[in-house]
Amino acid sequence: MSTDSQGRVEYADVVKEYGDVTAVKEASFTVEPGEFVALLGPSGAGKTTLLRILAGFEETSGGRLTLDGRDVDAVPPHERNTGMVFQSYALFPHMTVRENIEFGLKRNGFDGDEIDERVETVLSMVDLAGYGDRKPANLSGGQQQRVATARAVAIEPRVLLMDEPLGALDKKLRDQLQVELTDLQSDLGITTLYVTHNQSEALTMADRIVVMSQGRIEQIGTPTEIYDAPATRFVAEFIGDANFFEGDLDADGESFTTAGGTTLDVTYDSAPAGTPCAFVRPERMDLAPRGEGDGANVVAGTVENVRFVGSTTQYYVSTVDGRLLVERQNQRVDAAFAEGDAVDVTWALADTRVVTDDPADGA
Amino acid sequence: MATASEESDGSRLSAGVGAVADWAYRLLVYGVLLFTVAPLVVVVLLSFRPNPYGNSVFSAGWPSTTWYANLPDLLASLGFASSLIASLKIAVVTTILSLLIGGLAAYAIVRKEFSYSSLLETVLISPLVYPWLLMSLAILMTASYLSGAFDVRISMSFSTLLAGHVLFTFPYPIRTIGAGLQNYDDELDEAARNLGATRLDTVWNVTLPLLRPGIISGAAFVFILSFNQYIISLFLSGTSIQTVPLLMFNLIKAQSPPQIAVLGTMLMAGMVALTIVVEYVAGMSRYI
Amino acid sequence: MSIMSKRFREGVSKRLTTMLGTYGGSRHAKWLLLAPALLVLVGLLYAPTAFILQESVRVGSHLGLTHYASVVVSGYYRSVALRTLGIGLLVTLLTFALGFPLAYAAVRGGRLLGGAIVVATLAPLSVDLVIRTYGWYILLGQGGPVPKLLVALRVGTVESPPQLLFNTAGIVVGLTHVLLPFMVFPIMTVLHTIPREYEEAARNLGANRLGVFAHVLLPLALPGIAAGMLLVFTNSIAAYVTPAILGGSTQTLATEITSIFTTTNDWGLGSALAVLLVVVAVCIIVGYQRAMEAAGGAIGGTGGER
Ligand SMILES: Nc1ncnc2c1ncn2[C@@H]1O[C@H](COP(=O)(O)OP(=O)(O)OP(=O)(O)O)[C@@H](O)[C@H]1O
Ligand SMILES: [Mg+2]
Repeated sequence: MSTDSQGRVEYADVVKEYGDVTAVKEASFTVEPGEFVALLGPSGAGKTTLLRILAGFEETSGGRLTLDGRDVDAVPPHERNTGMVFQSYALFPHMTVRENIEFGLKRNGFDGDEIDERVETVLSMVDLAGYGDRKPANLSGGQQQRVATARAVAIEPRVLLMDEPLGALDKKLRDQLQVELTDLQSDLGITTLYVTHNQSEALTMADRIVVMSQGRIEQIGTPTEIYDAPATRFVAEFIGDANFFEGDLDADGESFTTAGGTTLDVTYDSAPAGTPCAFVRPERMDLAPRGEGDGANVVAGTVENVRFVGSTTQYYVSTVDGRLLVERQNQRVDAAFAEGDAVDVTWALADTRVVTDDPADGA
Repeated sequence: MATASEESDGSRLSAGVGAVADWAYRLLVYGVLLFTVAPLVVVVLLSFRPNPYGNSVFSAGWPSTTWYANLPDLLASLGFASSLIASLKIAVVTTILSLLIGGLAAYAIVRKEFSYSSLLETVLISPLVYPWLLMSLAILMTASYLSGAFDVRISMSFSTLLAGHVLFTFPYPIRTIGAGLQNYDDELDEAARNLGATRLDTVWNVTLPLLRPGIISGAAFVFILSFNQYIISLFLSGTSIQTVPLLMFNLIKAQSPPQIAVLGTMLMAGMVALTIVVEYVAGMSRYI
Repeated sequence: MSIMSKRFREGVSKRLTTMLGTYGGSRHAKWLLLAPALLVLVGLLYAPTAFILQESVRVGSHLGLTHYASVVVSGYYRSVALRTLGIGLLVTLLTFALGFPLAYAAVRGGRLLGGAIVVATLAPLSVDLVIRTYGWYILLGQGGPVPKLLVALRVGTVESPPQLLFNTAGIVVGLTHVLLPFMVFPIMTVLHTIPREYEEAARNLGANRLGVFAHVLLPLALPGIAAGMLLVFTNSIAAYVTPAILGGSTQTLATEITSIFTTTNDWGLGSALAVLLVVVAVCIIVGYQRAMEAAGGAIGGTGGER
C-alpha cells in the first residue's frame, strides 16, 4: 500500500488575495514526507485557502508552492495527484460507493483487476467492505466520511488534503474517527495536511500544528510546543484555557509586575518585543487555605464559584489580578474548597510564561 | 365544574364544525380533481361510442370499437401520418435547439457574474409570459415587411415555424436547468478534478448527469409544448405544413366529432404516458 | 463513449480544454454563452415587437394615432377588450379558488392523494388544447352532462337549460381548466417550503382553520400565489384556441386580432389591438420576475437561495 512518491510540500511566502481581502499573508512552512500537519485557526484564518491552493482550485497571488520540489503553479488540478477530502464529502450522488472510488482510480493509471482489488482494499481499510453497491445517500454521515477518505487515499496521492473532515459529525463519532484516521494515516505513511478549527483535534492527531489567524501564521510546532510554549498571546488563548496577567517585565529580567501590583517570578529566553503578558495554565495552579500557600508564585484570593466537571473541579478565584481559573484533579484525599473560602493560588516558576501579541517574535 | 362542562360543550360544537369543514374541503378537492380529468375522460368515452353524433355519451351499443377498427382508413383519409411526422420533426428539432440555447444561457446566468443580472434574467425568460399570438404575428409581419422592403423572399416554411417554436420554448430549459445549477454543489466538480478528471471529463461524467432531472424536464416541456402548439404554427407554418394541432382544429371546425375523439384518445394516451414517465424519472412538476 | 478510442478521446478533450482555457476565462466569454438566446430574443421578439408598435402608429406614410382612436371610439372593440379583461380576472380568481385547496391537499395530504393530484393536474397540461377543449365542448353542449346536472339541481329548466357553450361562460370554464396547473404548481412549490409546525403553532395559539389560512398560509404563500395569478391572467387574456372553440361568435382580443390578420389584413388596426396586449404582457413580465424572486429562486422560483 505504501506509496513510492515522496509527498514533500513546501509553501514559501505564499500570498493569496481576493480583491481587497488578503486571505493568506506570506505563509511559509514545510510538510515532510509522511508527516501529519494540522492547520489550526479560527474561522476566516485562511486554512481552506491554503489547501485549495495546493489542490489547484485557486491560484497563488505570490510566493512559491512546490510539491516534491516541483513548482505546481502551472499544473492543472487533475494532474496534481493530491487527494482531497471535503467537509461536505462531495461524494458523487449518482454513483455507488464503488463507482465513486473507481472514478479516481480509472483516471490515475490503474487498470482492470487492479481497480477491483484496490476498491476492496480501501473499503476494508475504512471498515466498509460490502458497502460498495450502496448509493452515498443511503449511508450515515460517518460512513460517508469514510468513503470520502477511501476515495481520496485510493489513488495513492502524494499528499492527502482534509478540510474539516469531521466537522459535520457528532462528538462521539468524531472522537472515534480521529483515532481511525490517524491510524490509517500512519499505516499508509501518507503526507497529510489537515484543516480544523478544533484545537483538541489538532493536538491529538497531528505531528505538527500550524496555527493561523487572519491569514497569518502565528506559530508552527509540535502539539506540546504549541500548548506549553505558545509563541503569542493569540496561540495561548486559542489553545486550551489560560490565565493572563497584564503588566510589565521588570528591569532585572526575572520578575513581572502585574497591573494589580503583584510581583511574579518568571523565566523567558530573550526579552520579547511588543506588549508582554504573563500566563499560566489553570491545571498548573493549585489552591491552599489562605496563608498556607507556598511556591514560586502566590496570589491571595477568594473562591467565587465552584464547578464540578467530573475528573476535575474548576475554581474561579477573585484576586487583585482579576479572576483566575484553577483546575484541580478530583482525588479523594484532596481537601475541597467551597465558595467564599479565603485561599492562596500557587504555581511553580516553570509554569509561568511570558508572551506578547506580536507574532513576528514567535514564528 | 360548570366551566369545565361548558368548555367541553364548546369544544364538541367546534369539533362538529371542524368535521363539516373537513368534509366540505374534501368534497371540494375531489370535485376539482374530477374537473381536471372530466374533459379528458369524456373524449376517451366518446371514442368508444358507436353512433358518431347525438349527445349521449352512453348511447346504445356502447362500448364499441368501430372507430378503432376503421382507424387505418381514417388516418389515411385525413393525411394524419404526414401531420404526425411534421409535428414530431418540429418538436424534436425545437427540443434540441432550445435545450442548447437555454442550457448555455442558464449556465451563464447562474455561474457567471453580470451587472444587472436580475434585469437580464427578466429579459431572458420574458417569452414565458409573452402572448404566443403576438410572437407569431410579430414574426409574420416582420418577415413579410422584409420581403417587401428588400428583395429577400421570406416565405412561411419549416424555418419560420422553427424560429417561432424555439422562441417560445427556450426559456423553459433556462428555468429547469438553471434551478438544477443553482442547487449544484460546486465541490462535486472540484472533487472530480482532484481525482484526475479533466474539465470536459468532469462536465460529461459529473455535472451533466447531476443536472439530468432539469435537462429531462426541460426537454419534456419543450417537446410537449411544441408538439401541441397551435397559434404559432397557424401563422408561421405556411401552406405546406399541417401539424397535428392544426389538423385537429380544422376537424373540430368541420364538426367531425368521432374522428377527433379517436385521434384525441390516441394522442392523449401517448402524451399522458410521456408526462407520467418524465414526472416519475425527473419530477417535472417541480419546475412549473 | 466506448466506440471512441481512449487516445482519440484524450486528444479531443485536451484540445477542448485548451480552448476552454483560452476563451473560457476571458471577460467576454460569458456573453458568448448568452449570445444564442439574446440573438433569438432580439431577432425574433424585440425587433418584431417594435415593428408591431411602429405599424400601430403608422398611417399611410406618416405617424398618427388613427388606429388607436378607432379602437377607443368603437363600442365594439371597447366591449371586446373589457370582456377579455373580465374573463382574465374571473379565470384568475376561479383558478385560485380551485387551485389553492388542491395544492394544499397535494402538499399536506397523504402520498397517494398527493401523487394523484400531481398526475391529474400535470397530465392535462400535456394534452393538445384542441382535444381538451373538445372535451368541454361535449360536456357543456346542449343535452351534455353538465347542463343536465344543472337542470337536475334546479339551475335552469328542461325547456331552457343553462347555456354554457358559445358564450363567455364556456370560455371561462375552458380557460379555468387549461390554466389551473399554472396556479397549482407555483402554490405547491411555495407551500412545500412552509413547515407544518407553523400551522400547528397557530392552531395551538387558538386560531381556527380560517385563521390559519388567512394569517399564516396566505401571507407566506403569497409569492407563489402572485406568480400563479400573473401566469394565469396573462395566459387567459392572450389565449386563442379555447375562446375560438368554446366562445362561438363571442370574441376576445386574441380571436379578434387573429381574424383581423387572417381575413381583413388591416395591419394597423390589428397592431393597435396587439399593442394593448403587449402593454399588459410587459407589466406582467416585470411583476412575475418580482414574485419569483420573492418566492426564493432567481430563475423560475424553484430551488433555494444561493
Ligand atoms: N472566493 C473568495 N472570494 C473572496 N474572499 C474569499 C474567497 N474565499 C475565501 N475568502 C476570504 O478569505 C479569507 C480566508 O478564508 P478561508 O476559507 O481560507 O478561511 P478558513 O480558515 O477556512 O475558515 P473556516 O474555518 O470558516 O472554513 C476569509 O476572509 C474569506 O472571506
Ligand atoms: Mg474553511
